[in-house]
Amino acid sequence: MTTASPTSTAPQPTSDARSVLLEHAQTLESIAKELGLTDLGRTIGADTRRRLDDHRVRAVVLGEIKQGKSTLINAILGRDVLPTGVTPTTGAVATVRVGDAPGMFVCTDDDRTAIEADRFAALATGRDQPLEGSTLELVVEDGALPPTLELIDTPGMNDMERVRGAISRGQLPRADVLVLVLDATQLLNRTEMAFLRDAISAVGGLAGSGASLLLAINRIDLVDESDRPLLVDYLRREVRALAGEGAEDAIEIFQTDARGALRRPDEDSPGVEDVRRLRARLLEIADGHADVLPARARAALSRHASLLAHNAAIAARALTLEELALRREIRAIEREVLDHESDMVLLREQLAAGQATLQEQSEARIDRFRDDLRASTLSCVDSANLRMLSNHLPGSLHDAFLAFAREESDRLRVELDELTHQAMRTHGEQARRRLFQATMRLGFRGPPIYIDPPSVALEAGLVFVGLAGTAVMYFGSMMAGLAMTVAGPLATVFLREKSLRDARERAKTELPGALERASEALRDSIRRVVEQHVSAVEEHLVLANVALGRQLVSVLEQAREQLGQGDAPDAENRRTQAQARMLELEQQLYAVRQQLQR
Amino acid sequence: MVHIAADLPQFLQRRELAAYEQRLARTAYAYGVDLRRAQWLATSTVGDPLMRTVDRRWSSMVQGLEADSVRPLRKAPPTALLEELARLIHMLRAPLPTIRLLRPEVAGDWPTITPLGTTKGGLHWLVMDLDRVMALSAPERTFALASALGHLQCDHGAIFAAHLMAHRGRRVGLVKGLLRPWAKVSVFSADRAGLVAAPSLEVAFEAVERQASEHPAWMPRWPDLATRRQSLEDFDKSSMMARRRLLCDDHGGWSMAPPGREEEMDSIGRKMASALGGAIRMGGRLAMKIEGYERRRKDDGDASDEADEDEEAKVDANAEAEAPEEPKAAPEPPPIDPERASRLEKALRDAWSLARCDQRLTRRLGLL
Repeated sequence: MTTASPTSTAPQPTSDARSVLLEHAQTLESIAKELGLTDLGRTIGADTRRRLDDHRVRAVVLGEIKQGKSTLINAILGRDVLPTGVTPTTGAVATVRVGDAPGMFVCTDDDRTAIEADRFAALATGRDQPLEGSTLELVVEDGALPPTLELIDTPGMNDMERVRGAISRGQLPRADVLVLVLDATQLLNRTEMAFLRDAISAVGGLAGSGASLLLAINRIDLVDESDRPLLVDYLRREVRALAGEGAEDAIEIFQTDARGALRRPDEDSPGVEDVRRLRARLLEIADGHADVLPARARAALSRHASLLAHNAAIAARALTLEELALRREIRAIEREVLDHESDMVLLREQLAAGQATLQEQSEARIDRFRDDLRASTLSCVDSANLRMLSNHLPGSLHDAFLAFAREESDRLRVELDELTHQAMRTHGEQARRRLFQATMRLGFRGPPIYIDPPSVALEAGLVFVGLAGTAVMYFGSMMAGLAMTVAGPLATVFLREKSLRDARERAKTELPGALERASEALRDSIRRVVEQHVSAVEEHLVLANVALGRQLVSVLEQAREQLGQGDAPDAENRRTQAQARMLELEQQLYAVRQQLQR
Repeated sequence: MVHIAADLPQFLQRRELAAYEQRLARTAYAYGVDLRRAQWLATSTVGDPLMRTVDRRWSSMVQGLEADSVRPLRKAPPTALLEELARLIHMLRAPLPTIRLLRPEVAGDWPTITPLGTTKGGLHWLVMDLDRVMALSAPERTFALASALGHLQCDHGAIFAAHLMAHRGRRVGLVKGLLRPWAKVSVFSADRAGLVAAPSLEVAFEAVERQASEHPAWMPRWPDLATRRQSLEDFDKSSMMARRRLLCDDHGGWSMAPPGREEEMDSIGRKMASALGGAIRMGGRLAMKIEGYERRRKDDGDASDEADEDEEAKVDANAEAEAPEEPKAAPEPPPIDPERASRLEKALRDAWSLARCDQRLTRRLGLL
């Protein structure tokens, strides 16, 4: 397989769009530095410039071990360049691209060393350990790929050594195209689903982010032809649900036979044909790099802004702590998160279990409160007068719900913080803010019930009877007039009592429904807060991926530095200033995210 | 065990207390030019049956609105807007309203913000067209929200509800006609509340003009713009505005309450909290008011709470125990800035009394 020479006059992003993106990158870079995340700042700047200036689309090939990722890359290239076979499994990230001087290299940030094929194979299969932070590069001769496309081979995501999985995760944010290789005989298992969710989140989603997801159902030749459409339908359904709305156009499915395509490239079987189709699609995406890469840069900046916002929330909360507490948290992160690589699957399971328990307990408390309030209200209704029923009871019910919501949100804040703490050994301001917002919204929902005041017609009528009676007494029959004059107020008293009884009945009838509606609103609000919080924690874990521990320590150390010695004379003043600055940074990040998503 | 928040009688008592406070506040007569007129309408032998006619139709009106005009409750306004509202509620001592948002297809038939309600502080609604509210500039939005809250504070919600009911064919045309004199004056109180919150005269003029230009047919007819502008200019010279300009800090911490009231409210909150196990400091306006105070205090407490949890850092805990915290002394009141005090004194000397503003307005309107 060969490719026509790429044109050097490919369309470039307009200078306006480019300068806006670079400006945003600069803002985020400086915010990252201010938060103590110098490395992240550097990555933001470098990633943006690479996307805007290098014009190379990065297609990252992912999948579990032994699914045929390297074989598929070889098949796309049309030659056996990456080590494959029964034993070899990819142990390091390897980039394949074209260049003037073909060869194999080990690359670090500032160095690139040529290596022999044997050494490359040893490093690529994990027999030899590469230096930390280095990647492998395989430069193939012109024609095998267009210069605007890089293929990245990754270790299996369920590799026994979790580090390898983490390395693959580290590649995700830099991907422009995700090629997920699945085994046709055991399609989309739990690990793959979780990994795919992370991958989609790490590339900033598929809707409008410029990223594409190409799903390769490999070894399709092992599946009966009649079952293949069912497989494709199932996969499409599951992935759509995972990717969310608006992502359909970015998802494509290929039924490949990578091994067959490598051995018999000219065969007409559907599996081999789809390998050719996959290659053509990759080339097509690479050809449209002028559209894809600015969109990717924008999505990546938005994602980095989210990550910085999470870190800023952690810093904001750290700035409220005393020095001793802060030091303990840093030690705990160093002990738990830095020393032991985070296992995303395990963490996710922990979070899901915690979320379910929290919701269950909270709902039980709400139900108990509703029942207690119903009993208390019914006893009040029995002794309340009309004014109390129509003027004060609705508002009081609202106040009672608000009081409970405030107490419940205080309790939930502690529990959500604890849940977050389990995942990352520290926590930020998010739980408190979300619960504050939820309670505030409930405050503006208004009373759940309104009890109509009694009709005025009867009272007015009876007043008229009284007045008429007085007139009759003066101008007509004394006895009849007297009777009318006395009967009016007496009947008023009687009818007032009847009105009161009616109002009480109405209140009793409407109360259960009203309390249920208000409880449901509270339940719904709390459920949403817990869900949002847990997904934010998950997002933070995914966005930070392998750098989570380092980032947390940097942010907390920076906060500690800003606070300085707690007994210094200007300590309180410094704390206030640092908190105000953090608020400014968060507002700035919010504004950047809004502009990037516009 | 019964949950403390489920004990309704305490909330009923507090509501009664709040209603009593509201009546007292009216005697302070801050910005409401027609408070006494509105009070007469709600409590007199003639006014009460009139207003009760409106109150009795409230439920059916709400059902109608939910069916064709307002969005479901799930859709909430942005938090920033709610925070702004909470700030203004605190500042104007206004009641906590229910916020409902208009559906886009009917929003054109409504003002940007419509205050509705029942009499005697039963229910207060603000019906908003969120798109138009968010499109306003920040100062104009503040004016619009504050003037709507001013309407609610002065019990004008029922007047507008009567007009809306008449428009929706609920047979209260006669009541609406009888309420015309009250409706005519109501806007001046609301304009004043808006100016207190804004607090720029230029912003107030722009907002009033915009309000007049988008006036739906079913709303009561407002007095002409010149009269409203004149009234705002008069009020801008009042001692209330002089105090507002000089005493308001950057965070909007100033409120309509007389000096010392803040501390008193906090103190009441603390007493209730200690009496009821710290669980009933919430609810309604009081909760809104002490939100910031409470948050600061809780955050301060986080460090010590979490310190207790870490069992492995006993050495540090011992070090901490060696230096026990001294009991905190009661916070001293901030010292009075003499320069600020003299500026305030001068401004108050030059300012008009509220009675003078009211007298000029009522004479201009030909009211008693």
